[in-house]
This record gives sequence, C-alpha cells and structure tokens, in this order.
Amino acid sequence: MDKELQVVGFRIGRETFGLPISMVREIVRVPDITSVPNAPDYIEGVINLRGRIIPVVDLRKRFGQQSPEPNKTNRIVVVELNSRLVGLVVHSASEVLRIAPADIDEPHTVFREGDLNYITGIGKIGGRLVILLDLNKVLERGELGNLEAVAESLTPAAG
Amino acid sequence: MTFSDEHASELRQLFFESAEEILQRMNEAGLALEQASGDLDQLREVRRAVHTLKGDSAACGYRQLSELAHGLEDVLTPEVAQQHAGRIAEVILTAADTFHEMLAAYQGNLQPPSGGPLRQQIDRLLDQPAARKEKAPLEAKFEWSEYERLMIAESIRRGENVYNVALLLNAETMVPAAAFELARKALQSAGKILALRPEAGAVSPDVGLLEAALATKKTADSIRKQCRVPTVVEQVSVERTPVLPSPSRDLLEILVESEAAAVAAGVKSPNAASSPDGPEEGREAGPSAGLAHAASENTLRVDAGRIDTVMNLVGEMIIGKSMLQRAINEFDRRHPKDPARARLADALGFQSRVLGELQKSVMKIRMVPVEHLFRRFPRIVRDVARLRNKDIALEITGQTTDLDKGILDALADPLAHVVRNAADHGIETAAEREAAGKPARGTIRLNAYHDGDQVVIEVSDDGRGLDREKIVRRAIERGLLTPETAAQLDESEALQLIFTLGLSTADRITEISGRGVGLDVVKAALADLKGNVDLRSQPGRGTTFRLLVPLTLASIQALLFRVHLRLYAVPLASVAEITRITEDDVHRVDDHEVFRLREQVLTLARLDRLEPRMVAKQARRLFVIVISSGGRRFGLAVDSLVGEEELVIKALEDDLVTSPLVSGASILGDGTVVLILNVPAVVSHLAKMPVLEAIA
Repeated sequence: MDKELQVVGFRIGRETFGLPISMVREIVRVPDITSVPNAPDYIEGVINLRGRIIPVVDLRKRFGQQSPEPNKTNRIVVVELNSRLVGLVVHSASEVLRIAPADIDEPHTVFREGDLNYITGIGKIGGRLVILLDLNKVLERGELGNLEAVAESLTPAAG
Repeated sequence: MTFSDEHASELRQLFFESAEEILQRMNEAGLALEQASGDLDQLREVRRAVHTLKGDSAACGYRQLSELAHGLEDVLTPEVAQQHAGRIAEVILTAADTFHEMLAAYQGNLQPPSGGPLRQQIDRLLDQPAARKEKAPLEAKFEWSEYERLMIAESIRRGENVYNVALLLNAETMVPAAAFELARKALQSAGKILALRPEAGAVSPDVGLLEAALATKKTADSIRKQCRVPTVVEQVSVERTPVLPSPSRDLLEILVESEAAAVAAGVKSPNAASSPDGPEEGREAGPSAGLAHAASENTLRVDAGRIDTVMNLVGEMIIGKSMLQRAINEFDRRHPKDPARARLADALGFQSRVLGELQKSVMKIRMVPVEHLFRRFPRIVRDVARLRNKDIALEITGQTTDLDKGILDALADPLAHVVRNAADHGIETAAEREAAGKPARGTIRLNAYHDGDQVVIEVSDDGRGLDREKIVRRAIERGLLTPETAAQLDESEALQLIFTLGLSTADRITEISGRGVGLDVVKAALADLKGNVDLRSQPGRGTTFRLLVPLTLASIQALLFRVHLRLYAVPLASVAEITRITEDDVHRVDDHEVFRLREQVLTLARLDRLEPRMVAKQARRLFVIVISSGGRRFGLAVDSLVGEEELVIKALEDDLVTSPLVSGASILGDGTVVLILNVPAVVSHLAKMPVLEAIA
C-alpha cells in the first residue's frame, strides 16, 4: 500500500483545507496582532512568536470572508515557506488527517488554471472533502492582488 | 590546483580581502611618493605590498595579475625611482587602479582587463635596465646562551655534527607565527635543535631571521635542502659550528671557548652594511615588515555573521530581562512582605548590570575606527584635483572615532560622493580663488566625532558655497516647487532641495559628479541607515555636509506612544520636544494641517490616517511629538505617550511585510510587538494624502 499523506487540516468557513504536515511548524492561539501601516491588504500584521517577529496572513480574508468575527477557536498555523515563517489565521485547526493517495483527486480543470490554481488536489476522508493547498500560490496570488491595490492607491494620490 | 573547491574559494575570499588592503597601501604610498619621490621607505613599503600580491594572486591561480605585479616589482627599486623621480608615483597609482579592475573582474568571474597601459608604463621605466641586485647575505649572529653553548659542546663531544643554521623567513608571509612554526618543523626534521633564536613561543611579528644550532648526522647540503620550505623560507645559510672542544675540558673552559667562537661567528658573519644595495633587501625582511604585521598580531578575523548571532542572542536576553522584570514587579505586588523580594531585586540588578556590559562588549566588537573609511579619500581628492587642475589639500581629523562596521561599509559610497562633490564643485580653480582673495590651495576637511548616540561625519570645503537662488530656480524649472512655495522656503529648506531627485546645481555635467544622480542617493543611503544628512553653506565661504548615523543598528533609545491603542515608537534622537495643542490650534494650509509652535509653523501629521480601517475619533487635546529630521521639523499627533525605552531592533525579515513607513520592529518585555516608524517616510506619505479626502 502506498504511503498515506499526512496533512494538517484546518477550517475556514465551512470548508476544510489541508497543508502537508512537513510545512507546518506549529499551531498557536491568536495573540495580539500588530498591524503594519501601508503593508499589503492581505497581511494582517506581525506577531511575536517566541522572540521572532513573523508576518501573519488572514487566510479567512484570502478566501473571501470580508470581516471575520474573532472567535476563541481561531488559530494561527505557523508554516515554513521558503525557509521563512509565516502565520496563517484560520477559523480552527486541530486535526492531523491521513489520506491515502488513492483518495486524492486531481483538481478539476477549472481549478488548474486561472485564479484557482492554488489547489493541488481534493482529498476524501469518509464523506468529507479536504482541499489541499499550494501555499506558494496562495500567497503569490496575494502578491499580485497587492500590486493591483498599490496601483489603485497611487491613482488618487497622483491626482 | 590541489585544493578542494571549498578550500580554494575560501582562499580566494581571503585573498580578495587582503588584496583590498594591499591596494590601499599602494594608493597611500603612491600619494606619498608623489610628494617626495626620494622616500625610499615608501618605495619599500609598496614593493613589499606588490610582492605579497604577486605571491597571493599566483596561489589563487590569477596568473595575469601575478605577472603584472611581478613586472611592477621590477620597477620599484631605488635605482629606477632615482632615474624617474616623477613617474614612479604615477605608475604605482595606475597599477593600483589596474589591479583593482582586475580583482573586480576576477571576483565577478569575468575576463580581467589586460593591463596594457600599465605594462607600457613599466616597460618605459625599465628602458635603462636596472642592475639586478644580489640577495643580501644573512646577518646571523648565533649568540647562544651559556646553557646552549654547553649543549652544543656536549653534542660535538658525542661526535655529532653541529651546524649554525640561519633561515631568512619570507617577510611577506601573512602569518609570521605560522611561518616560524613551519621553519622550525623543517629544522626539526633535519636534526636536533640545540638552540633557537627567537625562542619558540616568543615569536614577535617581525621575525625575519631564524637562527638555530642543529645537531645532526646529515651534511650541510641536505640540511639546506630540507630547510627550504617554499614560500616561507627565502634563504638558508648553514655553517659548521666553529667549536672544537676536547672531551676533557671543564665547564668554564667550554664556556670561554664557545664564547670566543660566538664572537668569531659574529665577526665572520658578513657585514651587509658595506655593500650599498644589500641593506635594503636584507632589512626589508626585518623590522619594517614587522610594522606591517604588528597590527594583525592578536587580531582575529571573524565572520561578521557570527558576531551578529551573538548580538541577536544578547538582544533576546535583554527582552528576557524585561520579562523577568515584569514578573518580579508582579510578585512584589502580590507578596509585598516576602523577604525573597530583596534577593530577587538584587539578582535582577546584578543580571542587568552584566547584561549591559555584555551588550556593550559585543557592540564594541563590531566597532571599527572611521579611519578605514577615510583612508580612501586622499586618493579620490587627488584624482579629482588633477583632472580639474585644482590644488586641493585634504585634512583629516577624528579618524579614531568608532562606528559599527556595517554602517561604516554602507557609508563608503555616499561619503565618497560627498567628498568628490566638494572637490569637483565646491572648490574653485586656483585662479578663481585668487580672484576672490582666497589662498590658491583649497582645503577639504574630513572630521568625525561622537554626538550622543550618533556619529557625525563632516565634510567641509572652503570653496564657493551653494547658490541658493540657483537651486531654487532649478527646482522651479523642474516643477518640483511652485514659485509661491519657493518664496516661503527658509534658508535650510532651500538648501535641502539639492537632495531632491535629479536636481544638480552643476552648470556642466562632469564625469565625476554633476550627473544629477548623487545627492539624492546620499540622502536615501543615509535614510536606510536610520541616519540623516544636512548641510550648511555660506556663499563664497564654503559648504559643510554633516552625515549623521546611529552608533549601531542593533538597538535604539526610543519614545513609545499610542495611537488608537496601537503602540508605535520613534527614535528618541529624532524627537525635538513634546507639546500639547487643542484642535483649535490646528489650521489648514492648502492640503496640510499646520500648527504654531512659538514662532514656527509646523506641519502636523496624524498617524491615525495611517490606518484607514480605523474610525478617527476627535480628541479635543492632542499630544504632539515634534520631530526634527533633516533640518526640518514637524509634529506627530498621538493619543498618549507611553515612555522611553531601549529597543532591540529586529528586522521585519519577511518581504511580505516590509513597508517603507516602518524601519524596524521590537519586542517589549510583555511580548508586545512595537513598530518603529520611519518618520520622514511617514510624513511624506501623509503629505501625499489630501487631508479632506482622508477625513471624508
């Protein structure tokens, strides 16, 4: 039998998302987030992770929720991305999921191109679906969005 | 090459570092020789430097550089210097430039320039071939102690051959102690060392000659062979110890005898001073080589990254200390009568004292005198002066002022630009100067000093000064200002305009400066360093640039305040004063909000505008922090002041969050992250946002 894939599952809204366990450093409660003026919109701010200052991205906002209510179950998933630490705010996170490769479907072609290309696969556990993410793409897309935002913000300033 | 790749690249790195120093030495000596071509000490100095460069570059496989250096070495003799008094300095300076280009090419893995012009200069000087000099004979004395003489006699009595061996060590070796060790090992392999000068463990950096008494069964020739350690030992002389004791003699006799022998050896050893050429070569290896190495004795070359690691750890400890402080404060409140309180307070006091010392010591490691920076400037000024046909003297003071290595390196280019600018545009030609009733020779002064937490570097010239009208006119032409705003500028604001992008007051564009790039780059570089640059100028009397940089980038004294519950900090050094105003004191002029502080009208920046998500609440009374930055003052409106604290600066390492408005972040004792604002950027950012729109 093939080695099963271990992913850290977390919830945003009603969906369950998954990241490879090797990427996830730790999961912490949401501390005070210090917002950084003039930083890209999707950057929530920075937090102090035991002496290191790391940026925090609100994945809830990335996936379309406008102003998510703070909740006691909210967590920050700290991931290591290109040897840097980034925190991701999610609704809740607690479980490690094991998915057999046979239960992972390729993303539908609609997802493979265009704005939704950050999905690498859909895992099935029992009746649940887990959306597996390519985090590089998730943040990269944010970067693009940010550039647009910068361009927008420049226009009124120039006038 | 027999090195492993890693080894070779390490070696090359080392080579590039030491080559920089060698070029610097060449530049300095070249300038000195230009003043006094008969200065043979300088000539020797250059020659030694070039020789080292030759050897090192050959070792790294940079053949072209090595060959050129070899050619240059031939020229650098007293004979050639005497024949071509004026030109030798020129050749040295050209060589320094050529070598610099070649090194840069090697570093970038590019094809190095051929160095043709340099070779031609060298060949021209060599037209009358200087007589090759004989190697100077060794000046070995072989003065052994009584005990050693006894040992020698004893060996000879046992039938061993004892030789007096003298090894001339290569004067240019980078690590004299290691060279000594290698030579000693070689001796050891040749026989039993009965006596050694200098003694092992007491090697001074200027060890040139190594003398030993060696007991061996081998012949003089094979000793010679064995002692020739390539690149370490330059010359070997081996002679039979002239002591022929008979076994029956008593100690006293032996001593007397060997004393006489030693005297005889001393007399016999040829006196080099009799030959005119000899002493140069001979002494070159001796004491003066020591000077070059004296500074490196007891010095470690450490990778800056390691020091940074220690510095970071110290920073963590300072945060830890304030965590502890908070915990103890809380304990105090809960158990006001507990006797442990005093002990905790003592322990904490002790710890913070040690920690303070530790932090200072680590910071000191990173400190280097600004001399390292200033050393480049005599050459720069000379080149500009020649090109422009000006007569310029450079005076340097305060070169021992210490500054963080990182800041120092980052200052090199901006400072060079300012100096070049002073030489090129500031100082007038001799004719203009005389017409203005000034001495024909212009003077540029470089000075450095500490001022509180800052280091100030001043570049002043006694040249024509800046033409305020011209600067303002240019700025208006370029559309940077309207004539109306221009009229409102005060003297210092007008002068500050020359730091604006693309503004140059030079009438002509020169290859040195005046391309319109420059002073804005200086300003930006200083801003990156959390420093600043300002200037004063008097028409006809000269201009002074002041470059201000913090002592260190590791920590700052900061003023903490809150805006909408958010905590921010600004460097305390930039705070001029703190005042309170009411909303009624705030007026609108064009798009700016301004308020009056005594006789001055200052722009008011509201930090709450930084966070568009926040709903601005209107407080009737405002705290205003008056910031002084780059000769300008403005006010920051804040909600409440928190206090002053030493912040250990942590970079916002992730490019996801870099914002030009924030220069760094720090963590307080309670774990709160506080952002350190880049005040000038904040003000210009807010100035771009029209006030009315921001309120709406």
